[in-house]
Amino acid sequence: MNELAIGTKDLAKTYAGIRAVSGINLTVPRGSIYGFLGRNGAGKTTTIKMLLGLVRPTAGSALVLGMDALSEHIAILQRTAFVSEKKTLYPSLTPSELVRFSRGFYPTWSDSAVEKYARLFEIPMKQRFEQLSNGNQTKVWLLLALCQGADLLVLDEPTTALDPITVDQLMHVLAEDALDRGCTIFFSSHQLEEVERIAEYAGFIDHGKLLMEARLDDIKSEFRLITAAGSSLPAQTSSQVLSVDVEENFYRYVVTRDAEDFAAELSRNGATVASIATLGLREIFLQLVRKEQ
Amino acid sequence: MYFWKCWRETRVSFYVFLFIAVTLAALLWKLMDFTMSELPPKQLFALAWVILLFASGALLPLAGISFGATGISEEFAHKTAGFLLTKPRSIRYFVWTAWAANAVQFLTLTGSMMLVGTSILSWRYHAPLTGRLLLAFVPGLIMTFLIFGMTYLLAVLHKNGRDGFLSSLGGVIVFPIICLALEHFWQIHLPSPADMYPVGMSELISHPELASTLPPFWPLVGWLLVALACPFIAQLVLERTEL
Repeated sequence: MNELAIGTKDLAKTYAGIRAVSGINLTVPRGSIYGFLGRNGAGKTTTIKMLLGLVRPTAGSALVLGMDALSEHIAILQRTAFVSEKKTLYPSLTPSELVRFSRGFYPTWSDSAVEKYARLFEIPMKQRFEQLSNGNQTKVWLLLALCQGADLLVLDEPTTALDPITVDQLMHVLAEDALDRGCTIFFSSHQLEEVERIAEYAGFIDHGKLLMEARLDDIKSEFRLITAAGSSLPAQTSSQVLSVDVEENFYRYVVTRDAEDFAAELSRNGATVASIATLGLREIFLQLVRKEQ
Repeated sequence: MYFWKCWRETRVSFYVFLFIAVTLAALLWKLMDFTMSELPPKQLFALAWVILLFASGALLPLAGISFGATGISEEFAHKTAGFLLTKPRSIRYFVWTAWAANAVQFLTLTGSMMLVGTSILSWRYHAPLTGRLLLAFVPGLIMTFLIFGMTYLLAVLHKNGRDGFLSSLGGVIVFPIICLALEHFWQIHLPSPADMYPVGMSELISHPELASTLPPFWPLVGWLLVALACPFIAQLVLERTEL
């Protein structure tokens, strides 16, 4: 597990009888970008809070950078930068003062990074936080996280309120600067396009359960959309067939493995297989969630 | 870091209280001269000293209740706890740093009021300052720490400074009434912070020379411990809190 930046074992959290997270097993390799995907309320933030020691798990355990998330959480926080889902900070402080406040907590803090990212994100450093736009408030969070010199960046919905240009800049910074330093990036999002752009690994969570976790390329290669024309073709889902859409004599199958074999079987049943196409992350996510429901 | 942030949040209140404290202490002799100039200087000094004690006894607890409502409880009210508590420090560090930042301000307020007041009164009335006289400030200072600690704890329990402030204010008003009622109707004496004061208010006004009476030791120690227990309980509560 020490080769992992994050490793959890049957991690679970229950609030007043409601299961927020149900025994998930995450494996985030060191030096990777991992997209943690799920709908609102899927359990992403609760999982992140357990990783950072802000919430005690009901069951299971988590190792972050090889340390126990519960008993060694201060040592973990020393090497972890966090961007919260709620982008509130001290309203009366300016970004410069927030930098001054944060700097002293981290021996690895970089002032040159502050200058670099403040310029890149065009952050008004002398304006009070409460007077900043939502987008600029998010940028301040990102600035504070990026300048920390952390080994692990945990970003909870980091692109909230950001304009497309800043999202682009952030993705570039994460993919180039942070990874160059050997930093692991674990970010939660429901913006699937962002994850698809930079993540190497992805985990899908829904209703507190981890539906799938793998390399993004492997996930994409596992799913195929088969379009076939014919009559009386099979229209039931199975462990292999995640969904079937029928429109007159056209059938659209989403299959998880052995797509070629399935297409051959359709042909044997008299169908004309029009195409076997790969799926985007968005479609895969939707299929997995629908299957779970 | 956090000390600086706490200071930054309370500095305006601190300057306001400091201004009031120093102005009161500095202008007290003028007020005495203006209203009671017929009294002999020794008596004037004793009376001015009692008024200074009363003024500090009212102002400092007010500062205590006001500062107690700031600190770590406001991190929850303003939803900044997620930022603060992901800094690599323990809850104990944050609780006691915020407490210490305020404690330094009270000590400065008390010290300033005492120094300015005693120096001017001593100079004006040519009265010697004795250690016994200065010790008369100690119960007021401990009372301030007690009210500050109680407000701090209540604010943490409410996770909101304003609610802590109101609860504490309620306690400060209701507790003496309960004590008086129990004493009056049932002759039951509840331990009360008033036990720290060696002489009652009305007695002190009629006999200002009693201001140099030494405060009782054990009530001072006892209430100081209670005052220090408050942030400790706040720490225990927060260590069991989830975000």
